[in-house]
Amino acid sequence: MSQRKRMQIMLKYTFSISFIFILVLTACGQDSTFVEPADTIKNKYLPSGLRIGTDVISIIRSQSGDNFDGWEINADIDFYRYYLAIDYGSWARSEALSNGTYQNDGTYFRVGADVNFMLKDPDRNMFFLGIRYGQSKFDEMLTYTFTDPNFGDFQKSVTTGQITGRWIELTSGLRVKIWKGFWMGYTARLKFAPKTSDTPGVVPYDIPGYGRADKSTYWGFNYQVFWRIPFRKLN
Amino acid sequence: MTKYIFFIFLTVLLSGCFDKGDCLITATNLMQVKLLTKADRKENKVKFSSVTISGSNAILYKEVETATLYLPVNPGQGSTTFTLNYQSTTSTITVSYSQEAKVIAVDCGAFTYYNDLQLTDTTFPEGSIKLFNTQLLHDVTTQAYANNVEVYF
Repeated sequence: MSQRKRMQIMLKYTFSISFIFILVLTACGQDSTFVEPADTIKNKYLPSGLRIGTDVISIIRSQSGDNFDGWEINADIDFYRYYLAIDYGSWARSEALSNGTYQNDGTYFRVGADVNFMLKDPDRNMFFLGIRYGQSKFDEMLTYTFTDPNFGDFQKSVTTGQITGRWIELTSGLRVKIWKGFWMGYTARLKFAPKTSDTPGVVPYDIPGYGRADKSTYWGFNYQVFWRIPFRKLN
Repeated sequence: MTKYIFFIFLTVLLSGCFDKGDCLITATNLMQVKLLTKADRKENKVKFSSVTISGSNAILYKEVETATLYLPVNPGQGSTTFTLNYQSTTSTITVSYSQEAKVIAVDCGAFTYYNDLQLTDTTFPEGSIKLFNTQLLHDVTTQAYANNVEVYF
């Protein structure tokens, strides 16, 4: 490898590493170069507003007859650059299998925190990264038929109630102020580590809020509209 | 290095899209019974005049010489008794099991998996029959079955 090529690679990596450092320092150490008065620091962490919204995709999916019926409410509240986020939703799925039917019905919640990386934005538009813990309670109904060459035809029905599912999510997304208190945004979710309570006689298939229980990772996407209720003026 | 990170990121991203699943169904109600020699545990072909199953009128292995039996457990019961007629001898094996329903995928359907297989009763002398795998499974790619029971003659 030529000296020039080596120099180019070194410069490239130096730039990349510097960029990551700047990003981390921006995230972790903003305003660290000057000391603010004690009351300003205290006020900084006081919530300035509550944002309440809903997932538009769930509503469209429910209306489009996609074997899905559900809704989701989202809320977050700011503590300076940190946001406490809570979601609550309903999820019912009905699938026609090649040899039967599958249905589930349940509710779920997610709770977690987001970190805003656009703190200097005057409108508090946000690009965030976050983490969530998700949990759902649901019922499953499975009916299927099969034929055994030695024992004949069978129809099996299995109903399981009060199954608990839980999982973890890494989230990222945007929140943009459109007009006055009206906000829009999206949340992309990398869901993983699904677990369900013991269900003798049946293996859970679909966890409300998560998706297919046999998938160790799953992607989710919400397109959300919000209304922000301000508590105080932003500094 | 960057291209590898991009490739890994892309793989993880796309893996979320493949939620249809392949119809690789490993469920079966066939219990594999291997017949081996008592002395050196080698394959031992036995000529059966018939094998009958409780809850079914089917007669299996009629005048068949084999070293491996595939015996179907009854999906409608929690236990099944097999009666093996061979070389002027009649032996029985009773097994119990639990059943678990599982949806493989919408296009594949739902299937019953048989677990917790146990030998509850047999007329074979003690030490001449042994339970190995407690799940009934079938590998569709190799057409192999789980080694459930071994009988030593």
